[in-house]
Amino acid sequence: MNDANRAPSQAVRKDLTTRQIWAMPIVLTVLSSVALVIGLLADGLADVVAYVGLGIPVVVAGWHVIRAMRGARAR
Amino acid sequence: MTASSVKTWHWIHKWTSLVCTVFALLLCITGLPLIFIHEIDHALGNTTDPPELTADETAEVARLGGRARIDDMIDDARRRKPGHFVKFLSHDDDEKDRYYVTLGEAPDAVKSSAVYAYDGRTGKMLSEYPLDEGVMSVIFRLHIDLFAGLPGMLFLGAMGVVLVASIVSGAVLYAPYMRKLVFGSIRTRRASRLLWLDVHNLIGIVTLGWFTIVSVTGVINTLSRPIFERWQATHLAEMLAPYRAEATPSVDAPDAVGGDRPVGEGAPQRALESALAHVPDSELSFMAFPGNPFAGPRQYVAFLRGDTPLREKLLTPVLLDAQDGRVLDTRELPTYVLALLVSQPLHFGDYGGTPLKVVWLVLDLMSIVVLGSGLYLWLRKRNVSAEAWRSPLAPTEASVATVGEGS
Repeated sequence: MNDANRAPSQAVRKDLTTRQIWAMPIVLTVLSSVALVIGLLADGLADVVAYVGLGIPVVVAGWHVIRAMRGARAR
Repeated sequence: MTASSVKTWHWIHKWTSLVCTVFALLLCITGLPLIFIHEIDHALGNTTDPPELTADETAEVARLGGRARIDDMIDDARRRKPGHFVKFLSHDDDEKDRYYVTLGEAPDAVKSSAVYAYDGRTGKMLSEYPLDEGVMSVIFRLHIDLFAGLPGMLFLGAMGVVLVASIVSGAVLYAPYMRKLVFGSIRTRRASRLLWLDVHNLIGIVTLGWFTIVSVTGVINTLSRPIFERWQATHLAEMLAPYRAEATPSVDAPDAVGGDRPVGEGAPQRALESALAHVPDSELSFMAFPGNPFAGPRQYVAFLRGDTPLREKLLTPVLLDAQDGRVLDTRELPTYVLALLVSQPLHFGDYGGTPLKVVWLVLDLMSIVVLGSGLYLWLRKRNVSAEAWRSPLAPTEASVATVGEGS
C-alpha cells in the first residue's frame, strides 16, 4: 500500500462496516427527500426547509470536491 | 453481498445505463433552461406582467367588484380568431391577475391555435403567447416528446424507468465500491479513472434522493395523456351520463355552444360563479369548454384549486351546464390523477420560489456530471471485467471473495 499517494483519512486498511458506509448517504437522501416533500405541503418556512434540505447534499459534495482539488494541488 | 451478486448488479448497472444515458443526458440538458421557463418567457417578451393601474382604472376595477368578467376575455379571444373555438380558460397560480384563453380550430383539437393572456382586473388582453416557435419551444419538445407526440412521450417514460433502474443499481453498488474508502474520498493522485469513479460515486450518492424523485415524477408526467384519457372515459363519462340524451343535438351543431354564438349571454361567467360558490375556499385553475375532451358536449368543467399550498395542486372538477351555468355534479379526482398532479411540481421544482429553482439547477448539473462520468468510465474500461474494476480499490485484499463480505 502506498499511503503517500492518498489524501489523509481517505482509504482505510480495514473494511468499513455497513453502518460506516451508509450513514452519510442515508442521512443525505432522507434529508433531501423529506425537504422536497415538506416544501410542497406549505409555503414560507417550508420552502426554506426545502431548499436548505436539498442544498445540504450539494454543499457536502462540493466541500469534498474542493478539498480533493486543494489536496491535489498542495502535493 | 456476495461476489456473484455484485457481479449481477454491476451487469444491471452497466446495461441500464447504456440504454438510457444518451436520453437522460438530453433530458438533463434540456431540463436546465426549462427550470426557468417562466423567467425566460418573461425576458423574451412572451409573457408580460399586468400593468400598474391608474387611479381612475383602480376605481373602475373596484366598482366592478375587483375582478374582470371572464365573458369579456372569451369574447375578445373569439373576435381575434373568428371561427376558432375556445378550449380552455386558465388562471395563472403565480400571477393571480393573469388569465389565459386557449383556442383551437376545433373544440377538441389537440393542437392549440392561439393562447391569449388577459389582465384579471380589467379584462384587457396583455399578450399573445407564441406557439411552436423559438428555441424554447424546441427545447420543450425535445424534453417532452422528441417531436413525436404520444409515442415520443411514452418512449421517454420508458427511458425514465430504465434510468430509475440504473440509479437503484448504482446505489446498490455504492457499498462494495466504498468498502475501503471513507465517505467523500476522491483519489486525485492515482489513475484519472479512479478520480472519476470517486466523483461518480460521491455525486451519484448525494443526488440519489433528488434524482430518483425527479426521474419517477418525470415518468408519471409522461403518462399524463393516458391518465387523463382514463379519467375522461370513466369519471367524466359517469358524470355526463345523465345528460347524454339532451346532449345529442350539439354533436351536429357544436358551434351553438363552443363557437361565436354561445347559448345564453354571460354563460361562462355564471358557470364560473356557481362553481366557485359550490366549492368553498377555491379559485379557478382552468375551465374546459363544451366539446373539449375535458368537458361535456353542452357542459363546462371548471377545475378548481384549493387555497392552501397542498390543496392548490389538488384540483376539484365541477360539471356545469353551459346553458344556464348551474352546477350539475362534482366528484373528487381519483388517486391516479392526483398522483399526476402532485408529480408535476415535484418534477418542475417550481413550488419554492427562486432559491429552490437554483438548487434544482445545481442538482441537475450534478446529475449531468454523474451521467458524463459514468459514460467516461465505461469508455475507458469497457473491456475490463467487474473484478478488475474493483481490484485497485482494495489493494491489500484484491480477491473478489472479500468484496462486499458482511453486507
